[in-house]
Amino acid sequence: MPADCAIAAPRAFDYSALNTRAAIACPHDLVWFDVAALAADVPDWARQIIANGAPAVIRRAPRDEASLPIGIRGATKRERCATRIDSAAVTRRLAPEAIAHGETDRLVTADRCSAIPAFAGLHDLQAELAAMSLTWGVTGALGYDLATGAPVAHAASDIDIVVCMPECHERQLETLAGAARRCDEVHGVRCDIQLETPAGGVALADWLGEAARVMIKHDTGPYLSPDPWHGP
Amino acid sequence: MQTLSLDYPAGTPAARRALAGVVGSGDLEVLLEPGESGRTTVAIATSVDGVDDIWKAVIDRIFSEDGLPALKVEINDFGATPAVVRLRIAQAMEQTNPEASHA
Repeated sequence: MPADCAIAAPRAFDYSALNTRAAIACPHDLVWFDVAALAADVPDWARQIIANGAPAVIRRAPRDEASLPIGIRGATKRERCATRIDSAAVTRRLAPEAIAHGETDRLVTADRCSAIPAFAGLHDLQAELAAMSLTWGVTGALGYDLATGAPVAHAASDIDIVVCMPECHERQLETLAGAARRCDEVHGVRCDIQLETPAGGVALADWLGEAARVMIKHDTGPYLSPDPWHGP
Repeated sequence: MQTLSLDYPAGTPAARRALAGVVGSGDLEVLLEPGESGRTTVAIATSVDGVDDIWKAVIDRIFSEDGLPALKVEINDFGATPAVVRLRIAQAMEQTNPEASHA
């Protein structure tokens, strides 16, 4: 279990807004930077990963003008390093939506596509979601794999996607839920859909579930709300 | 995958079962069922090794409170933070209240 990050944020951003997404690094974005930008207390394994040219992932954590909250993925689930870097140190940024649209110069070989059902599932999702005029992207292990070529996706990998949903569109939510269900039925792959709303991030499965309040992930920490489009 | 079992004194069994959370990185699924009278049991299965002490501290704080109903709690963890653990359990507890319903 990583440490809590629940201190007050000086600014709150709407990551579902396209102008925000264009202007600043948003949660799930991958960022590349020189290893020298890492703080002195970052462990050696994480330092090595960045030194080898791998990116870090933007975390949902308090923001200020000067620094960015990042997470570094290690080889095991226990190797997750949460830290911050100087915003100016970022040399390249790749958003989940760019990964979903293939702006990564990486191709998945036919071998891996047949060995890893998540890639086949993602292929179907790309076709279904293209018809919906949504901003959406690939996150998690699959996104990292597609963006970097590091073979972190495996046969049991889920598909993690993020969908920008500035307003609640019930029909779009139903269509998304249907696409996730078909992914499971056809490919045997779980598709975890995270909605990005002006209030924060919420799991589609949570919103469609029976709970009176759902969990919203926000820069200031998670909270429960009856409506993910209207905050606490 | 590792498992952890915890045990707390409690009141009468909860009114009904409840499920909260999702299967997904950084999250967890929690199932609450009415427990045997006077006792709450918590079973945690986690994909993250070596964090027993943190789990125990977080769960102790929730279930050491007086006057809680007896529950059988099952948690499937996928690397949730302590804040997420507390909220998911609170979310499920709300649903054991018979008046709770989706907005």
